[in-house]
Amino acid sequence: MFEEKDIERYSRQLLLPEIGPSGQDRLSRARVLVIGAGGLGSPLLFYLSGSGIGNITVVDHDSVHISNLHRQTLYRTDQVDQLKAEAAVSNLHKLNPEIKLAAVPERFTRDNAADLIKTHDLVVDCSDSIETRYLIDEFCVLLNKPLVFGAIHRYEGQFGLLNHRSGPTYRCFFPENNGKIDQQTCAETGVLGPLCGLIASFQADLVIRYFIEDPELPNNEIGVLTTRNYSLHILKATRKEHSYTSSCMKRISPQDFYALDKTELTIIDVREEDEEPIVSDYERKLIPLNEIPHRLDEIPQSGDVYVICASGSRSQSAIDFLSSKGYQNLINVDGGTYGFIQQKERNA
Amino acid sequence: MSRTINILYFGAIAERTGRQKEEISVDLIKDRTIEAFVTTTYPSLQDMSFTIAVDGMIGAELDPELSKEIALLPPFAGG
Repeated sequence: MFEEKDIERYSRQLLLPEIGPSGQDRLSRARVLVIGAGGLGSPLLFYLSGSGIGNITVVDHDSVHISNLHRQTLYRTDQVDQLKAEAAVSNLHKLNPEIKLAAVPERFTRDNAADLIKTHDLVVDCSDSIETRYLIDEFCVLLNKPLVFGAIHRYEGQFGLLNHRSGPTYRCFFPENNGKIDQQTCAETGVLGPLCGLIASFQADLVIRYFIEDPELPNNEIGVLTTRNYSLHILKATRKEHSYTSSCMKRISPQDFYALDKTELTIIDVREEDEEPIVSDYERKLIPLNEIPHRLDEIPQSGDVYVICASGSRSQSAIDFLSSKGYQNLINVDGGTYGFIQQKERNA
Repeated sequence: MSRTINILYFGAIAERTGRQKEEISVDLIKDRTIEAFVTTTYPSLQDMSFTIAVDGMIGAELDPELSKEIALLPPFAGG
């Protein structure tokens, strides 16, 4: 609840007639689930915490890596190797000790999705895989929760408020891909830090305006920002009903994959040739993602086949494509090569 | 001379077409779908996932006499 002692902290936003004490009170009662505390989650969480969103849960299974720090503004160099969810909550508590913050250092999966989402009023998608985006969309629709999504690719970003007042969902803008190749993560394509800040700022703005009940808030559009020519395109969609049948593939956690005896395993690495890090702990067959459609005869249709990339995203795209060709024996290696190396370092 | 229409490409689609935008004659897409036109012109788009907007509306029908802009938008994964 918004109290008199907080007037000074929030004074500059309280001055806005759309906020005032009643808007600030609504913010203080809000319960927001943020999935992903990386490039988008970092700046977003600063703004949400600073604005006085009263209850914020941060879900992220990953640890802080030195290569995150150029864009993931929440973390400090001395926090490398700490769990992101816990480091985030610790840092945000220093920014605003008046709000409740909870860390969930777990991967967002089909198993915990409903429990996490149902206790919150709004979900923010700051994840970094298409598979997770569809999963979040699915559970927001099932549990009737508004979703603020954000996503980036090199110099471009997308954002929007979805599933709000019967408006379109993520699938209305991006129908499922029918086995086509999806996009890659920042770890694979590269990204500039400020783009994350721009898209996360649009997301935070939508979250705050949702809770202060801004009547101007759109419910049927997304923004697409391109920093290279400073353009912002608004695209609209209408609500359509979709079937939610995706994401039923087999997968293995980095821990379980690390523990497996790999001498007899078939492992297909869909990264580019010479792509680092190169792991010599197991034999792999290298078939870069773009070559998969032309090299089907090299991929067995029976027996378990483990598919790996850098982080688990391209391997997912490969499996989606191969599943559309009838493959049923593929297992995605969650966390990819980075997950394997992290696990190896932990066990060292 | 026939009408022209702008096509905007985003994300990995722009990387594969090698351009962010182009202006084409509407005659090129009068008798076939936009998807057929772009995947014939740029075969590397055939295995890509993308959504098509006409004048800012996802899934809208193209009107060769009135439509001004087509956008091809893939989902972005990064975050």
